[in-house]
Amino acid sequence: MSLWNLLGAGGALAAGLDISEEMRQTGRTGAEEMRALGERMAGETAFRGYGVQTGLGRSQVSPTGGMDLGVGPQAGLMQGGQQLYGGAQAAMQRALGDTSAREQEIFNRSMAMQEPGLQRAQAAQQAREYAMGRGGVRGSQFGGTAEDAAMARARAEAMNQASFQAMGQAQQEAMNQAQMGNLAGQLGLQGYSAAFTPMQQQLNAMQVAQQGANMAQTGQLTGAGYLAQLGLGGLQSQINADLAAAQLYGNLAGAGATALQGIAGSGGSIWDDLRQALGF
Amino acid sequence: MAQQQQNITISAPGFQGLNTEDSPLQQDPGFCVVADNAVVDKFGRIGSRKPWTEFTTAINVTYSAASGVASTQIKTHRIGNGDINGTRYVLATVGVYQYDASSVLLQEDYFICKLTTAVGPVYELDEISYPALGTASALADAKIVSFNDRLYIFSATNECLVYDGSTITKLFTGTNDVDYIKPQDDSGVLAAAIDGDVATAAFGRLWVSGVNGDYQSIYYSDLLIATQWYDGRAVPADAQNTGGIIDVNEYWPRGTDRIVGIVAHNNALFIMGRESILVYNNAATGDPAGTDGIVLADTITGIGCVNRDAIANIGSDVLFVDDSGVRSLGRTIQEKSAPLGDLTSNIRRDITDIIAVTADKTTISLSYWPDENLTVVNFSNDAQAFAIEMRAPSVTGGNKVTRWTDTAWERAMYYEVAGEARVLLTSAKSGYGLFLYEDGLNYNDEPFEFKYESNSFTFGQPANFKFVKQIDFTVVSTLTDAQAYAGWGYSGRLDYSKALTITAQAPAFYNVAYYNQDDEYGPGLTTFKRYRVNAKGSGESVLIGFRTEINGNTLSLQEINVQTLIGRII
Repeated sequence: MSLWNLLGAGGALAAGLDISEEMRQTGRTGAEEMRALGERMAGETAFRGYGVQTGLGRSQVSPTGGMDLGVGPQAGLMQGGQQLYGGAQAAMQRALGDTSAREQEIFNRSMAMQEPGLQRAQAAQQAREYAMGRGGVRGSQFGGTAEDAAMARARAEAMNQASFQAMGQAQQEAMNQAQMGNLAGQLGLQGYSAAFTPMQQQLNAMQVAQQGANMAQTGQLTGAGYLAQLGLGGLQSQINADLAAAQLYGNLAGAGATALQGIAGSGGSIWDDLRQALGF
Repeated sequence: MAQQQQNITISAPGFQGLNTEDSPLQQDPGFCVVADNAVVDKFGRIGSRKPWTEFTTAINVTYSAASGVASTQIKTHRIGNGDINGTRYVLATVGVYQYDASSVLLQEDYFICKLTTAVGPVYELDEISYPALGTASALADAKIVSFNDRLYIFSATNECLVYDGSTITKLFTGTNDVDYIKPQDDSGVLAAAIDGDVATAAFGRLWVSGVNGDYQSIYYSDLLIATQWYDGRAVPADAQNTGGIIDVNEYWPRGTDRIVGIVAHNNALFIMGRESILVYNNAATGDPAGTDGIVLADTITGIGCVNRDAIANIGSDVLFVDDSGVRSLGRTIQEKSAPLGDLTSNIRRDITDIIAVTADKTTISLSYWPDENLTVVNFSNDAQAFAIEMRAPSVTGGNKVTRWTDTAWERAMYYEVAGEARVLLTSAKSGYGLFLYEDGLNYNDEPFEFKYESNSFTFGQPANFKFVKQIDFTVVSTLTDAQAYAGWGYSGRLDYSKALTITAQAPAFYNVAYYNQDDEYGPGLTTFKRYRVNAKGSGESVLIGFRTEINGNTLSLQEINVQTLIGRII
């Protein structure tokens, strides 16, 4: 082996080592670039949330996906609805409850209204009875006189009538209560439901906003894609360049080695070459 | 110069009855000032009344003898009658009073007796046992009422008793609401017993006052059911019960009064107060408390009734004794506030005085004897009565009234049985039971005095002296001779008298024809005879009298002729 050969081999080896190192480095760099690009793309493509601002309020979907509608139910309507509903419940309870107390109340008022007339009628009857000399008469058939019994019967009939009227009236009132309760319930329910209208509208607005957000996100993702592609392209170019440079360098090194080997082709020894190279 | 005698005839002396009210000098000569034990007889003239003949021969009551009893009086107080299942029964209340030697009452027992026929036409009073009463002495003033085949005995504070023809029981016997219905309402029993003593049966009901001592109310029974009374409960025991109560307290025209009598007449119920009268119409309707029930038709002020038994229904009218005498209800009602139904107006002051001084008004009674055409108001406390002729009133409008003395009875009762009319009298004399107003001997075989005194006559010449020379008495007498006394006098005094023997033909007893009845053989027993009495004395007015004892005979004064000289003007 000639020195030249040896130098050539050594040079080739060193160039190979250097090229491989360069290539490793290029790979590492590429990997790092890719990681950095990935990390950047992760940031570039991450969901950034979106929101909408309406006259009712501001709604946001956070980057983590949480949504803050920013608008609650309409308190007045909700409270009114709840009150109406509560009133409806109370009305229904009253409607379904025992009407006897109300019947008694109506009966008492009815009798109180009739009482003066009844008293006048009774006074007139007693006056007639007295004038007929029958004031002191009591018979088994009537307890008193027939006129007394008729008066008592009239009073009882008035009471019966008032009682039945009171029952009917109380039942009618219960029906009214039920109807009013039903109506109040419906109104309450409507009010309660209407209390959520701003939220619904805000949600609707969010749907509109979502479209914008989608468009924005599409742009973002497109840009990120472009960036990634470009980044990847650049990186690929760099790697390719590095690879080409390495290959060139390797080629150069190979050529030098070859050249050295060509020198060594004269058949001398290393030493010979070395003395030759050194000029000896 | 001798003067011709004038003959003045009093053709019907005393025929108009007593008159102590009008001026004697201006009266009809038919009036008189004394008419004792007289009636207007069948001859249309004043005559002797009938005696109180003994009717019952025994009073069969059982009582224990009081210790130290010295004398015993058995008196009959009240009487009533009625049909029970077609048989006429007479009940009487009897009192037995035992006294010691000082006439102190030791023991009194009261009985309810039934008139029975023992053997033949012999009547007795037999005791009927009755449930124990709280106040048996009230039986002495009991009211016996006939109603629906039962006799009811009402006495104050005692529960009403019922006689069914065999036994006497209390009205409320058994269980309330089952066997009887007490007056009650939802507040409870109003009256535990019907214990009033003012009662009557009328219009199918019993009407009673004095229940619980309340003389302002009238309890009336159910229709034809004496055991069912006011039931004002909401659910009565008998839904068809129409018993009831009438409280009249507020209807007295003077503001206050008390019920002393109840009488039914002319479809009306007359509530007799002591000082006023209430007239209820429509009492006969089905239910007095019903729509068409009783109504107060009228009230009468200032006229009342002195006593429960001083009421007599004569069919066409109701008579009663007021403080002013015997009044006529029908006429009172008809004439409203100016009643003229004053039967005793001819003796008004006399009878008013007697009524006024009679402290115990229960001793006053009135009874109507239709077979005699008499209404008799009896003052048993004074043993005198006034007999009121019912056929026709006197010329003054008042009825013809005579006075009876020695009325040895408390109550009289006219009734008919088996076609025979009787007037029974409850004896106030011990042991006699019942008297019968009938011709014959007096219960004690003692005579009574028929007495007549005319008014003072002036014969139309009041200023002239009269010298009565002769008086002719035309007398109708029967059965036996009688001693009589003719009297005359002047200026209102009977100064002179002369005995007369009134002769009468003895009855023809051939073939047992008593008192000329069914006698086909003997002549009439009536002796029509004129008795002449020579008179004397003189005066401006002349008074004529006549008296005789009646002892089994009868006598009537038909005519008085007075022969008198009319003297100078004084």
